[in-house]
Amino acid sequence: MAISEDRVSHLAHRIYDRLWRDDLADFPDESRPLACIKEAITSFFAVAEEIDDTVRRKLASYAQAKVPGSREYEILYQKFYQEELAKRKW
Amino acid sequence: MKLKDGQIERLAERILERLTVAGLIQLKSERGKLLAGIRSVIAADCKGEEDLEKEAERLLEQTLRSMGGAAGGIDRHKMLRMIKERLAKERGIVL
Repeated sequence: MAISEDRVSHLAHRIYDRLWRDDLADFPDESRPLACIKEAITSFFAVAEEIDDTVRRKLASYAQAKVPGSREYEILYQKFYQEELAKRKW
Repeated sequence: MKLKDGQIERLAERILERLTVAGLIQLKSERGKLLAGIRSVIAADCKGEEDLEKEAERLLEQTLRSMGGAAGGIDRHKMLRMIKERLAKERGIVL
């Protein structure tokens, strides 16, 4: 689940604008909150990448799931992915 | 970027938590309203991409059908990405 830098920036600006425009919050400074939102989004997606790597490494040791893209591979991938999500409460 | 509702919820919480801990935000409403605002922005962004993907898939199928036998040598994945990028540009969607 990759996310581009452009998209992180775009999303951060939209979140910032929504909170400010709807009068839900004030920001004493503009650039630092934006950087903080970008950081939160980036680190959140970094965990997703980490989970994907963990699952693929785990699958590499499974004889019945040797072929990425095969039905067995996809079924086991989903199963292990959900397990990792639950483990990390992500 | 496909996110389930629970993931959108957690991402919204983390954003607000970071802003609060760093002292970069002054709340003018209850926390729940801020979270709902953040959630709705993320959900709308995901929905925009989802709709774009569906439309790109539809256009790809239409293109391949119109090409008939000549579609055999086409790299579907590459073509889908090109269609997606073109649609995103037209609609002002950031991928």
